[in-house]
Amino acid sequence: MTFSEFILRGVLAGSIYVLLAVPMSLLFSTVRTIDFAVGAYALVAAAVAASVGGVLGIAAGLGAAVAGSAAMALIFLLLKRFGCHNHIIYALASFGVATALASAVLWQYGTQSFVRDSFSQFWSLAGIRISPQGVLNLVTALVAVTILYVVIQRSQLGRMMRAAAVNVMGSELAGIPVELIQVGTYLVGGLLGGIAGLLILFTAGLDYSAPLSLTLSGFAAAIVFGIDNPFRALFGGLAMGVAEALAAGYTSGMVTSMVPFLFLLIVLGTSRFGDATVAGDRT
Amino acid sequence: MTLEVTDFSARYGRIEVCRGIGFTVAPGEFLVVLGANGAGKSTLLGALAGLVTSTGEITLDGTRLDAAPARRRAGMGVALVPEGRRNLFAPLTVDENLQLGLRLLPAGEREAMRAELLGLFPILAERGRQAAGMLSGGEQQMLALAVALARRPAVLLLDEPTQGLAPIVLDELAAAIRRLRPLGLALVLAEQNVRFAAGLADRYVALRGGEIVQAGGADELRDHRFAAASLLGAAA
Repeated sequence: MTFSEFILRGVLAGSIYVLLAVPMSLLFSTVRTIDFAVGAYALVAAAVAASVGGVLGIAAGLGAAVAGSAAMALIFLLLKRFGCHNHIIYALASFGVATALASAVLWQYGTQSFVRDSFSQFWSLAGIRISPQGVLNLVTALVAVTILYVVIQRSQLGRMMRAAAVNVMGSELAGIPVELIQVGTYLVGGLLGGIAGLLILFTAGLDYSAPLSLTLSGFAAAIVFGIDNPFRALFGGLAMGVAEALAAGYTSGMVTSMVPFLFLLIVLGTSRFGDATVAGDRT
Repeated sequence: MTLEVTDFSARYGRIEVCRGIGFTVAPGEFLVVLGANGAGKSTLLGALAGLVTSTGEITLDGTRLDAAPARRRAGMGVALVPEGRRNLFAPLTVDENLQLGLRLLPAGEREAMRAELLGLFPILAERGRQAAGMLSGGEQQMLALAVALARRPAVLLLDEPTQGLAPIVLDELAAAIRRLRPLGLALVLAEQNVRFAAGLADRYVALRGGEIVQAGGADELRDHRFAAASLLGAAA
């Protein structure tokens, strides 16, 4: 395989990370916490879709993923109602939800892998064999990010989301339903995580143990270019896909599995995490 | 609409900051709440807007507001411009801040209101695409006022608008606030700059230790020695 082939395959593979990274970044921008259950939403969607099958299965899988994120949103609201405003507690609670969801899948479906065939033929681009499923994954990620961009930058809902992210008190004074927006952000995370799970189902497959590695990969992709901007997560996801593809091509599988951790180390070592400075913020 | 506050107290946890407050502000009337730092002015205005726990009655033309959270009071006609212009969204543009303010109005009225606001604060028309956080202090105060006025509130609570502003900007700000009079708002202005307040007030109440210790007409405020000695206990 050539260098350019690794790059192309990395970009196609990275689109899954985009779908996992964007909701993490979006939630951090809005609520200043991390939902570590995103990988579990992907698993639940894949498991339900595989067991139900067909178009109905896809709808049921997405519904199950959103239901999982709704459970997380409910816990978030309950914690707030009981006076907990610690964002680390919200993040730890999401670990609990992730464990519960993965355990539920293990209890219901056992240790089986969830994988479905999609396209039997491959396309050729400048002599490089590419999977139509990989292209579908990339297109799905780009469409999801584009829709998100339009909503956040151009709509009233997006303005309210950005307002609630930077100034909760000002938002309350402006009559913006801050909690509703925060809950909605959790649900969007469930939906995007679920879409990622469905794409993985038709690409490489996954089993009950996948959520942690998926979440770590999504988290690393979300923070590498700054977690405050969901659109940077697009480039973070693609960069991680390329890094993994190059590592797989030129080194060993062990190095490939270390790529997310290397991303995390780079970000933590250069103190880029949570770098929330806003240019020109004079207030 | 007439704002009526009766036997009103506000607290942070167990600490009661204001107690036994009562006053009425008629439409078009400007009431100034004077007091030194720590007198309870900001707490009082925050509690009236629903940001601080309170007891007692707040009514707007007889409709009780005191049980409603801040978000609902915004829709019921109460607007607060907090100290430090903290009702602004710094990374959002001037236009986006205005749009957020206008969203509680019916869609058909928004464009006319936007034009009205830009007429009241012309500098904002030139700054439309600039981030609110990039404006000067005076321009931010104009924007904070415009955002609060955008939903046509019946009551405007203005907390120390002069804070952090250069003296040269204060005349401009006072003129902007005077231009609000024809709107028929009941305006409550918390201030410790007596000279600034005296130029705007119809009446005043003075707070000390969270209680009203004095009340009167605007004429009394224009005697600065009286004001400094009896209201703030310091030079005005």
